[in-house]
Amino acid sequence: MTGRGESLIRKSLRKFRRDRFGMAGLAVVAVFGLVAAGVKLGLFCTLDQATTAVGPQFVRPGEYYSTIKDPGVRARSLLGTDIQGRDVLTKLVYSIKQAFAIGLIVSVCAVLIGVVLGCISAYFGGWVDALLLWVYTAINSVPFILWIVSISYAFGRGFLGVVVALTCTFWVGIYFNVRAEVMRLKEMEFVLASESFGASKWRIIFGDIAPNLTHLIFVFLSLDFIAAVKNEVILSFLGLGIAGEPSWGVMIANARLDLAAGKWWEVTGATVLLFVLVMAFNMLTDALQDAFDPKKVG
Amino acid sequence: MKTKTLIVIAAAALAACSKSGGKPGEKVLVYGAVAVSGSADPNMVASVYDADLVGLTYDTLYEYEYLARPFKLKPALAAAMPEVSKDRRTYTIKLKPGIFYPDDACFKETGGKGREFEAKDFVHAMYRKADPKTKSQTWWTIEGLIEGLNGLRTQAAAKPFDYDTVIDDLKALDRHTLQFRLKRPFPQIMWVLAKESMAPHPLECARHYGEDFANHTVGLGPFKLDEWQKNARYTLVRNEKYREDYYPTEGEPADQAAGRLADAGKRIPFADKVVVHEFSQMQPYWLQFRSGKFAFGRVPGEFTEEVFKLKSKEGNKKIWERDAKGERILNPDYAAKYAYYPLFLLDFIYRGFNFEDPIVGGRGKGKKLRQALALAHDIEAENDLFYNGLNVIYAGIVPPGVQGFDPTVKHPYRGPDLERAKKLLAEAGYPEGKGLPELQECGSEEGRTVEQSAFFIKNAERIGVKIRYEAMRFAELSKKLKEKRCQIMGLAWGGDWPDAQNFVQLAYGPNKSPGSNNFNYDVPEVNALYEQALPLPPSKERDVIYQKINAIILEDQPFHGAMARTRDYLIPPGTLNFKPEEMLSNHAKYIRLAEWGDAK
Amino acid sequence: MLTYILRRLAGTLPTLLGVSILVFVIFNVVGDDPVYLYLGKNATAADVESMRRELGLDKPLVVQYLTSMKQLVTFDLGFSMSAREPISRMFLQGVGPSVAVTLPALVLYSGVSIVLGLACAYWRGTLLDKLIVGGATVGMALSYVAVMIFAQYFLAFVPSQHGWVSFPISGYERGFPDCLPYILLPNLISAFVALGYDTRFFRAVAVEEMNKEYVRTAKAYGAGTRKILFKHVLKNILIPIIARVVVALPLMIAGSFLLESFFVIPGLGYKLLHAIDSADYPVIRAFTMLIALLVVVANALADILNSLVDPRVKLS
Repeated sequence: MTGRGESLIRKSLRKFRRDRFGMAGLAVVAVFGLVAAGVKLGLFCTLDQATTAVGPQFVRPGEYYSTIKDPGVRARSLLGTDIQGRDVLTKLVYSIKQAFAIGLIVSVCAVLIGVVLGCISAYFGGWVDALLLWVYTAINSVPFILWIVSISYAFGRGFLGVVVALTCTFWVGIYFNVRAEVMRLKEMEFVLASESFGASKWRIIFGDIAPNLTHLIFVFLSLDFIAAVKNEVILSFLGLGIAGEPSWGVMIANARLDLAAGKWWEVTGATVLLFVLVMAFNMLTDALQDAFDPKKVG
Repeated sequence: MKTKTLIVIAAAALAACSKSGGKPGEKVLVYGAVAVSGSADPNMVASVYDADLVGLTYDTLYEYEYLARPFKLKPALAAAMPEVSKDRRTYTIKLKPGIFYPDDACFKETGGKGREFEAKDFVHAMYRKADPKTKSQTWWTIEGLIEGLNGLRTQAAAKPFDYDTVIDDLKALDRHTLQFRLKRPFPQIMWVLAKESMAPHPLECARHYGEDFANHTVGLGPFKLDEWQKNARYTLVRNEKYREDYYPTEGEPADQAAGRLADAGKRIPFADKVVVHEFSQMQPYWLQFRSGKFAFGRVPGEFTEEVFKLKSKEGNKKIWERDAKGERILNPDYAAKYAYYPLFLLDFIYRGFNFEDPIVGGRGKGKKLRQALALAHDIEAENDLFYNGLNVIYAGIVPPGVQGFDPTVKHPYRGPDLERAKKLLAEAGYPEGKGLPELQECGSEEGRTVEQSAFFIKNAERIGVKIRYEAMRFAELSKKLKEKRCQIMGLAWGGDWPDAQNFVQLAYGPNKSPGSNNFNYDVPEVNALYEQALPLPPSKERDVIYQKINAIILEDQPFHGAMARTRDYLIPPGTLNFKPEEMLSNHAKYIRLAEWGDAK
Repeated sequence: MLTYILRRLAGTLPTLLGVSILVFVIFNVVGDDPVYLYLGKNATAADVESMRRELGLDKPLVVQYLTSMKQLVTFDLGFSMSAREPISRMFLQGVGPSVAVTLPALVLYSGVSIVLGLACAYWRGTLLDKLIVGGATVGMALSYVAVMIFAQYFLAFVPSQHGWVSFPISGYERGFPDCLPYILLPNLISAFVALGYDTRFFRAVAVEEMNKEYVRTAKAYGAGTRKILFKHVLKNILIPIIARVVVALPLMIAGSFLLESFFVIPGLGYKLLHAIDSADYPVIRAFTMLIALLVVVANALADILNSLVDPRVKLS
């Protein structure tokens, strides 16, 4: 019975491959992802490199400077150095890993929670549904940014605080969509058939229904990823972001005055990379939406 | 069509704004503050920004001489300097008669007309500090100084504070005479009396407004609070009932040269209205100042290189171009618009260790560890990286600028000296950091502070010591400090008054957490020496004792440091009589703008 | 109709209850202790205890919760320790400036994005459509923080250095005509940041509508572009428009705190930010609750408006 879902996916993939913007977005995301993986594996731009000074502070992009390791050696700085003489390019690249860490953890957790709760809510109905729907409405009726700030405020500054705050807030979006979709699906023939064969409820949920939620999962993974990365910047600006490691948000927040003081490279670098990644993800999301929405496939 | 109308409206609105200010002929002084004030209640002064507001709207018994350096006090509400008894414990202060409060609805007996200021107002102001119900932010300034006051506070824990009680050691002898008796001689009491938070105020008004007294001023200061957009801007207007007050006639030689004595003997304040813009972001503050909106401004560290002429750079060390007097020189486009005044703050920026901690504390292994860390760190480089090399680095606890500071003292553990650091670390039992658990440092979450700690942590790593930084909000940080839950702490102490005692007390055992001795440093020799020096006024005798304390502290290294900041003020030529100093907060009554014309 | 309105409003109560419980858990159970902040630099253990007693922090959580609910219902929200003002007054005074920096932006970007969305839908697939969608996608990817920092520097400061007419760098005046110059740039920034999202949203809505039978019929009968777009399509997509615009306002107010703090506008967001900085959690708690109240009421309002526009809504 799941065959229906598979053929749908194949069709969608074909459509997705034809979308030039989507493929471009995917390519950019893939490059960023490879870089992030490289950093994570310690191939280049390690935390140690990103937090160790290479030369004097505020070397302008393109300028030569004498390195700290060996003062006789003159090196050329591509994107300049920051207040402590650390290489801005290294920091920027390291931050790609940070962005992916936050984006992936938050989007996967949020989507996982949302899908599971959404399925439970819709399939079981009754008081479970009522309770979850109640929580959903409550969370949804306060501006997200307030929740994010409040929760990360309560959890304290740092990676964990950011991730918890964003996850706690983002799961509701996919929850509601999944719930609606499952409501529709559970009345469908193939589910009713499984039920009549006496399949267990969990089996029906995760075996029969869940594969039909692929499009929602893809789209929300992508949406939550972008939102997480963008919100990290705002949290860092408010002093609630990651501490101790470079990230785009921390770089923008700490160097915000440097821009007006003529030291533009750190803020600009972080802003541009953030822009490129978000832009690529936006294009990817659009393409996914177009390709995987069952109403549009065909 | 519509867009055109919109553009016209917008342009008109913009034009209207550019000429905003007061009525024609009104003398309006406008400047910015880099943080916001919370309360205008003298009892609630919690930051220098609160003090700035209270200092302009309330008056104290004594005030700083505006131009005198080193600092000197003169009578303000008091008629003369106090009469002090032989045992240096009883102070009798005559007050100026005929000073009236501004009219305010809270004076119910007189139908809203301001009554005369009396000695009991000071007593009541102190009672308010002692009353635990008011949650005074400034009780600490007089705590333990006057026995009867502490007694009242203890009693008030059980029953409501009785403001009509008369105690023997703080009372009004008559309407214009005040007397108090100190528990033990404490010459610094005069500085305490000049603090903004010690301003007398009418009890009936504090009661009338209740907690909202924070937003209404009924003070004897040169100005009254007129409007306050909380966290954004406050407007003060001249207090017509302000006492007779004149511009100082004496100052330093530099004041004469800078024209700050031109208005000598003139009646102050000069301004009719003072508008203070409050900022919580530096960018708008700086841009507003640069666009000419403020009567003076201070240079955020990020812009120092843009403002001052740089001769050369050796690595991170900036060599500033200096004139014959050794002052830095402004860059041409700044020199055309501003004069510059470097202010050396009475500051104590340090990185402390919890002396009670089993690892970093104590005088055994912990002492060697602290010394090793001091040797691993490079405070000169920290100064160059984060303060443009403009901070003053000094050894010990007494900062430059107060009597008792000795510039010849050498820091015995001044880094970087990695060889010695490693040796000491091995002696402490942690060769190359082996066996030493990861240490924890607490500090503010503010971006630059975090960066600065990262630099310290990197330096410690060079000898194998691992430190984790915990960034936290101020509330959380103070809680952790009070509960002694920080191993290492990066903090700053701004002097309350310009006397070495205010700094040395930070190392006095009984002041440890929750007191101001955040490193919980408690060593019998130091405690004994401190107590011995306590009754002494600033003198050679006291200096010798303080230097003994300093030497012990330097050996024990309960903290690394220290640095005092330099603040650069820029003053446009149209702003006259401005002499920056952050110990006092009533500059606005002395400042005159050239555009107002000559003073009467 | 009246019963529907009443029912809809009553339906907001459980939501508000849920919000209040969540907020309470976040601040009173997880959050840190504000007492140390209030007591200043030399607090003793006894002071801390007595303050905790006074604030009711030593009571069981249920009692604390009920107390906070009672305060909320009576709008007696207590006194802010950091701002030293009654919290209810802070809120009321903050509403005006906040509305001033968000409502015009809302009207502006909603209007522009509806027109752009309709245009895209009508000329779907053409170069115009692609340009607008592309522009909107670019706009969506810009960081709010960066737009703000750059705009203040380049649009307000740089022109003022050249002596040109320019936006004020920061500040605010109360009252209608006085506030105008100060709210222009903040409004432009928030409109600019939101434009991308809304254009794409309205485009999607309009595209769906354009595919409907009646539009094709109208086109076939030779109805003019303007007539089709504004008479038929706009009328039919009014519901999502109303829903989005009405609900967006309270959300924008809460989201504008970065803007307010950068332009020193004493609105709700700015006050909230200060409360966050000073761990003044009674303020954060009260503001969160009150903003939630606004959102919930706005949601109900949007539903009611929709039911007026389209009576069928009531049934579903």
